[in-house]
Order: sequence, then C-alpha cells, then structure tokens
Amino acid sequence: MSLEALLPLAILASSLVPGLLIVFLDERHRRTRTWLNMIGATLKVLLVVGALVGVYHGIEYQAVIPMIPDYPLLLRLDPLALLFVSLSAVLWLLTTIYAIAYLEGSPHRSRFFGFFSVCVSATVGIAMAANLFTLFFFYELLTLSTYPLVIHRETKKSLHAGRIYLTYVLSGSAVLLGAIVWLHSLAGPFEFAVSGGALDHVDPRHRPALLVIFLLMVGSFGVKAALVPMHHWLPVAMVAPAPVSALLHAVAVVKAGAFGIARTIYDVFGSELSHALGGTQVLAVVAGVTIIYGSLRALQQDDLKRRLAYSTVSQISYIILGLSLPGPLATIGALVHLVHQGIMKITLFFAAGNLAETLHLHKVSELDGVGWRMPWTMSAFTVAAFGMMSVPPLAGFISEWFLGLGALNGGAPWALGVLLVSSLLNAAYFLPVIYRAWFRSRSNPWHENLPRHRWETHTWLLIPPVITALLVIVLGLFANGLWSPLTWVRIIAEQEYPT
Amino acid sequence: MTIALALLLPLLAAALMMGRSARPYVLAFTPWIPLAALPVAVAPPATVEIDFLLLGMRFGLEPWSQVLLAGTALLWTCAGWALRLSGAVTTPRLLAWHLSLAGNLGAILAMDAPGFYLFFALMSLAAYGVVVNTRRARRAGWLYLVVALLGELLLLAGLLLLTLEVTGPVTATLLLFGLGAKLGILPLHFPLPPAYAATDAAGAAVFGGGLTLAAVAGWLRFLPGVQPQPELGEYALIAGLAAAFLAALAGLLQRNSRALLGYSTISQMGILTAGLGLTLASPTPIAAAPLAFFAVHHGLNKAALLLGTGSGGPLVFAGLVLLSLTLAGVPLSSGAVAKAWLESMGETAPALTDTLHHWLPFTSTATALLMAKFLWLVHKAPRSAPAAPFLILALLALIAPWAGIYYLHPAPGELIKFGAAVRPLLIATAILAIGWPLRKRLGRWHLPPGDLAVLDKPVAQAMRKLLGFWRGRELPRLPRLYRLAPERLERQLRTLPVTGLALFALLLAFAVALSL
Repeated sequence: MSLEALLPLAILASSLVPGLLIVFLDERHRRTRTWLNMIGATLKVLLVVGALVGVYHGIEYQAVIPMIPDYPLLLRLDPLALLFVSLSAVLWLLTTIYAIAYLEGSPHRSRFFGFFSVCVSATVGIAMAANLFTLFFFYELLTLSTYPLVIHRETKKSLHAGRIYLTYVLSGSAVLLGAIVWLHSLAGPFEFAVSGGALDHVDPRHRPALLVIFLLMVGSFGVKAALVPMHHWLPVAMVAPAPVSALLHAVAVVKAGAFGIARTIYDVFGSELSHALGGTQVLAVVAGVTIIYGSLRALQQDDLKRRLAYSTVSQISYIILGLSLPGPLATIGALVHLVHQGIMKITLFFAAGNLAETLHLHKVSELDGVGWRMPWTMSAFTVAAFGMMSVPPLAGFISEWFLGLGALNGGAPWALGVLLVSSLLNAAYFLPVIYRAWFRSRSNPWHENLPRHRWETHTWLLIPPVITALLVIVLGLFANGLWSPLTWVRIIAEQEYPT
Repeated sequence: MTIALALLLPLLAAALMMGRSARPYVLAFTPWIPLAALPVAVAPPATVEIDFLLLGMRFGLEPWSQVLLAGTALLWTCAGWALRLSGAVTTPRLLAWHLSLAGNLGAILAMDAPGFYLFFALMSLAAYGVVVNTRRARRAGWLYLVVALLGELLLLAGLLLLTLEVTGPVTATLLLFGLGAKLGILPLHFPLPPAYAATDAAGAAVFGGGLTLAAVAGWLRFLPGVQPQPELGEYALIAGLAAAFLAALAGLLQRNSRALLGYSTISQMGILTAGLGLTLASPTPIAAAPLAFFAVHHGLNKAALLLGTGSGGPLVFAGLVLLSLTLAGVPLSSGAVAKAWLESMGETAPALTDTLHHWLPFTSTATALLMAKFLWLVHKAPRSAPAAPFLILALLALIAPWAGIYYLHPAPGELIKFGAAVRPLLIATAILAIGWPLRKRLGRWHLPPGDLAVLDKPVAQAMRKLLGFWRGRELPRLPRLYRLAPERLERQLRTLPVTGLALFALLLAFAVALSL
C-alpha cells in the first residue's frame, strides 16, 4: 500500500485504535488511559499537519477498501475534507485534555474515553468519505458512538435525553438511507465530484425525482444539523457532561450534519444542479427560520447550557444558509463558519463547564460577579461570545462578512437581514451574561466545588478554553494570513467555482 | 511606524490592565497615551498597507482626517487628565477607556471598510464601559447600547453593499443612519442626553467629542463612494435643520447641564447633517474639508464644555462663557468661520443651497439661547473637580481650530464675515430680554432627558410580554408524533439492542439494495 493511501487510514486509526483499546481497559488504569488518549490525539494533529502540507502541494491521498462490488469504502483527503479533519483533530486534542480533568474521579471513564475516541474517528471518517456509502457508514458509526456519551451519567434525565436523541437521529438515518438507495438506483455508482456535480450523466427526465431526493437527503442531514423543526433533540441532549456537549456542538454531531449538506450540495448534486432544481431555495428559507427561531429560544433560557444549545441551533444554520446561496462568497462564508463556529462554541461550553464544575453555577441569573472570581474562564467566554455576535476582529466577524457579501451577491438581501437581526439577538442573549459576570457583584460566598489551586480552577480545565479563545482572536485578526482557515476555504471555493 | 505606535499604545495599556501591579502605571500614563497620535496627524499624509491583518488593512490620512485625528488626540488627552484627577477610576472603566481610545483613533486612520468597522465597533462597545461608572448610569448605558448595536448593523450592511460596489440610495441611507446613530441623527438621538447626564465630566467629554469625530470620519471616508443622492440629500438637509431647532428647544427644557449639552450636540450635528445633505445631493464630489472642520470645531468645544461642567470657579465660568459664544458663532470665532464655510459650499444644488442659507443663521440664534440656559444652569450647580484639564482644553478649543482652518482652506480670510454673524445673535439677545421676566414660569416646563427614551420601560415590557407569551411553547416533538404508533413497538424501540439490530437490518437492506 502506498504512502498516499496510508495517510487517510493512519488519520482514522490514530483515534480508532486507542479508542478500542481503552474500551477494554480496566477502570483503574488511569495513567495508561491518559497516555493512550494523549498519544492518539497528538499523533492525529501531526498527521493532519502533514496532510495539509501535502494537499497544499497537490498530492492526492486516497484509500480504497473494497466492500460491496462497485461500492468500496473510499477515503480521500480533498481540501474540504481536510478543513473538517483539521478542526476535529485540534478540538479533539483540547477536549481530551479538558475531559481528563473534568471527569477525574467519576465512574465509567474507560467507556467514556473509548466511545469518545470512536466518535472522533467517525467524524474524521465522515470528513474523508468520498462516496455516499462511506459517508453513511461513518455517519451511523457517529450516531451509535455518541449515544453512550449522552447517557454517560445514567440518570433518569440523561437516559430520557438519550432516547429522544436516538429517536431523532435514527429516523433521520432511515430517510437518508432510503434517499441514498434511490439516488444510486437512478445514477448508478459514483464518487463525490472534485469540481462540479457528480450527477451530470443522469437523464433530465429524472429532475423531479432528483429534487425529492435532494430534499430528503438535506432534510435527513438536517436532523443532526438541528434544523427547525427537527432541532428538539439538541437542547435535550444538554444533560451530557460538558466535554461531550462541547464536542457535540462544535465538531461531531451537528457539524457532521452541516458537512453532509455541504457534500450533498457541492460534490453530489453540484451547486449548479442544486440551484437549478430549486432545492436550495427551500433550504435557505428553512435555515433562515432556524436562525431566528434558535436565537429567540436562546433568549428565553435561564440555564446557561440550554441557552448555548439554542444558540448552536441558530449558528449551525448560518453555515447551511451560506451553503444554500449561490456564488463563491457565500461558500467561503459558510465553510469558514464551519471552523469558526466550532472554535467559538467549544470555548463557550468549556467555560460553562468550568463554572458548573468549579462553583456549581448553572443558571445565567447566578452569574453575578463571577468574572472577578474566574477571570480567565470568563475572559475566554467573553471573547467567544463577542465572536458569536460577529464583533470584529474576532473569527465570527469574518464569517458574517462573507456570509453577508454572499447573501447580497447571491440575490438574497433578506438573508443579510436575517443575519443582522440574529446578530442583534445574539447580543441580546450574550450581553446579559457578560454584564452580570463583570458589572455586577456577588454578596454571598461562592459554593466552592473544587479545592483551590494556584489558578481559579483545575489547570487542565483552564488551558483548553484559553487556547480556543486565543484562536478566536487569531483566526479573525490574521484571517488573511497564509495558514488561516479563510485562505484554505478560498482554495475550496475556487475549486467549486472555477473562474 | 508612527501609526502602529499610536494604535498599539492604547491597546498595550488595555492589555496591561490584566496585571494588577501595572494598573497604577496605566492610570498615570492615561493622559499621555493619546498624544502618540499627534506626530501621525502632523506628518505628511501617507498610506500603510498591512496585508495579513483581518481582510487586508489599510491605514492612512488625508488633510481633512489629519485635522480630525489631531482634535481627537487633544481632547482625549485632556479628558484623560481629568479622569486621572477625578479618582473615579475602576479597573473595568480604565480598560474600557483605552479600548475606546484605540477604536476612536483607528476609526479615523483606517481606510478599508472591514478595518474601519473593526475600530468603530471597538470604540462603540467599549464606550459602554466609559458611560456606566455608577449604578445610576445603567439605564443610560442600556439605551446607548441598544442604539449603538442597531447603528453597527446598519453600518455593516452599508459597508457590505459598498464592498460589492452597490452605490445606490440604499447604501447611502444605511451609512447615513448607521454612523448617524453616534451623532444623534433623528430619530436615533435619544440616548445622547441621558448618557451625558449619567456619566462624569471626563466620560461625557470623550462621548461628546471623540465619538462624534470618528462617526464624521466614517461619513467622509465612505459616502464619497456612493453616487450623488438628491432625495436622500434633501432629507438629510431637512432632518438636519429640524434637529438643529427641535433639539435646541428640547435642550431649553432641561434641568441638568450635561443633558442640555447632549441636546446641543444633537442640534450642532444637525447642522453638520444639513451640510452633508447639501453636498450629498450635489453632483460634485463630497466636500470633506468644511464638514471635517465643523466637526473638529464642535468636538473640541463640546468636550471642553462637558469637562467644564465638573469644575467651578470664576476662571472656569469665564472659559465656559467664551466657549458658549464660540459655539453660538459670534463674529471672529471658529464657530462663525465653520458656519460660513458650510454656507459657501454646494453651489451646484441651488434649491437646497437656498434653504440652507435661509435657515442656517437662525441656528445661531437657537444655539445662543441654549447656551444662555446652559450658563444659567452651571452657574447654580456646585462643582469641585480640579480645573486645570478644563482650562487647557478650553484654550485648545479656542485656538486650535484656527490652525485647522489655515491648513485646510486656501483663503481663510474670505470666511470671516462680520455683519452676517451678528444679526442672529442680536435676535437671541432680544428674545432673552423679553423672556427674562418670565424665567420662573418658563422654568417649570421640563422635558425628561432623552425625550423618546421615556418609552424604554413600556417598550421593554411589551417585548418581555411578547416573549413570555411564547415562553415554553415549543414546536411539537418527534417522540410525541411517534406515540401515535402502538405503545409496545415504541417501548421496544427504546432499548439499545433493538436499536442496534434495527440499524444492522437497515445496513443489510442497503447492501441488498445496492447489489440488485
């Protein structure tokens, strides 16, 4: 097997192998488990850096594992795949560090970290999938590996949440499977197109059927991407431990849904056919409704994690709105937000987790003056929240700038209106948190959960949010730099819309 | 290099606020940090491009923006001095101060749209922390923030359109109101008077001076990018003149001297807006220099007046009188020159020029009456802050604009007109003489600061009610729909093994379907 084929498999294995080993590891072997986790996560980041350099210089990495005739398991590292893979690799490393500290002393840690690693492998698999069969395979692996994470605490509430989660995503998967089979029965076996669509050979007579298939596929991916009215599982799944929520909201599940939609529009149907069919217009309206609905619901929540969850519902639809608008500018905005939203949202969840773990604070109304008790955590939260409000020079501003340009350029000024109103609503539900944390003061003593350390909380709980908050600043401030997601996304957009 | 220094120094000061031991030094250097922008302002205009920052940033100055930058640096210096002397400096406020300063300087220096938006937003958001220094200021801060955010969104939409080279009336309107929100353009004027009244003299000074200069810089930087707008120009002219008179009237009904000055800003910026409308409507390029000069004259003057509301003594009162006269445009003052220059531009839109010529002198009457009331109010109020920063800034406000006019105008002598400037003031004197016996009765009339702002509670309540009405009402859930299916099947589905088997069956079905 050549090196070009080995790299995708190595990236996959760097989390799958430690994951499977950890599942069978005894609960007491804390040190071995930590080492396995850290080695796997670090190795993955290094491999991804290697892949980035390679792909930048035009090397094609592709691995084929024959399964069913004509439908092999096909993994390919194209620029779009690498965008998602790098995001997962970096955030997985940080979340692993965070989770090790967060779950210290709690039961079932081997099960947790085992499935955690499998979940990341599935995400990476989705990213690298180069045909629908592979995509579906890893998509289902993701569903099954996240369930044990959601119900990790095994309380009545989390079991209930797990049930709702499964009901939703499995319903979505069934529809997705049907749509995929239908599409292949019309078009025969095909791979994702590198540029343009993969369905150009399909008889124009099948256009109506293609539209239905498009809507079914996008709709079923939309379950994971939490499009209204299929978003309900997401706020319920908030009972999971903070690292899980962080990963679920930033990279794994919701992002997999958005990524599936990106693949469907750009590499299966091709943007030209997608817009010609008219399916994207429907999707754009649904995304617009979701953005506003999610923000309004977030405004009503007092529970911090629930507020963040509804914020995710809204923010993921920024990506989908961008995907469903024509033109390279909207594509740039959507794909760069795929990365930026992940980094901002994971910062917010890390911070929320720190508040809960250190001071037993869960509600927005309890946060008076917490900024002065936990300055680093709340600084990170503040930076990320301003990013969500698209304040320059933070990462969220870059997304909004291109999404806005894309909306105007794509002949949908209403979409810009939606984005701006949503920014205002974002301000309405994030500013009160920031205001309470920094501008109010607390009269009674804090409910200290952890023994006081040198820092405001456990060091390993503090490092990940500080790093991601710095990333939020750096990715925005140096967006035009050579190694920024924006530069990478421009390469993808050029591929999709060659000039 | 000097540009980088001018912008990085306040940011560095803000960063140093993180360290507890550095805070006293930051406070000590607060007045001197804005001075780093002066070398940039007086150096020959140049452009710097920094490709890797944001979306590729460009900094630079033209003659008119040099004058704006110099004025901004001077007024932040004196206000910073007053802040340091006042002792009312909390850590968040000092942090907000330096961030706001960096934003203010950067907004004047940035030449590209995203860069300008970056610094303008930094200034706007941080200014909240400058205003809210006491519990009392919370409502004012809230009002300010709502309008500021609204303005930001309009501005962003306008800049996006401009980037796509859409140069029609929509773009111009968005820019006009997006930036005008900082200048009290009607009907977004209402946060200004409460904000001035709620904060202290130093905070109000940068609010009334610096922030307006940045917004004017934005207008002059980006409005030349749009096509001539006859209708919008006419609207701006009329709305501007209306604001000039209505705000003066509202200001006369104030009991707080700083709230009155808030209305004065709305009134003066109304005059500027009218001038902008004139040049916006005419087919010639936008005349930046007279508008910039008017903004600088007003910015320094207003900042000085606001600083003066904090201190007492005969010398201070004398300074306030001189400043008031200048603002009202007595002959041979920078105010008279600024108005004369506004009048002299825009020969290409005759109808509008006539309107302006007709009404502009009477704005001086209105200003004179307003400033008389202001002097009456400060005369009565006890004040104790050290006077030195005010005296320096007052001196600068009286002298510095002359340097500006000699730099910007080819023949400044033409602008000094004695007779035209006297008449409106004579009218004002006459009105004062008639009104004096009635002062007790007239004094009973009162308008709450921020007029429209009295609606804040009802509006907030209505919105809360709307959200509350909807609270807890989610869309129907998927499991509820499934409950229609037989209960047993549903219970079966809940268990993990069954789910796994079902998935396995699905995969199998998929494989079979593909092999067929």
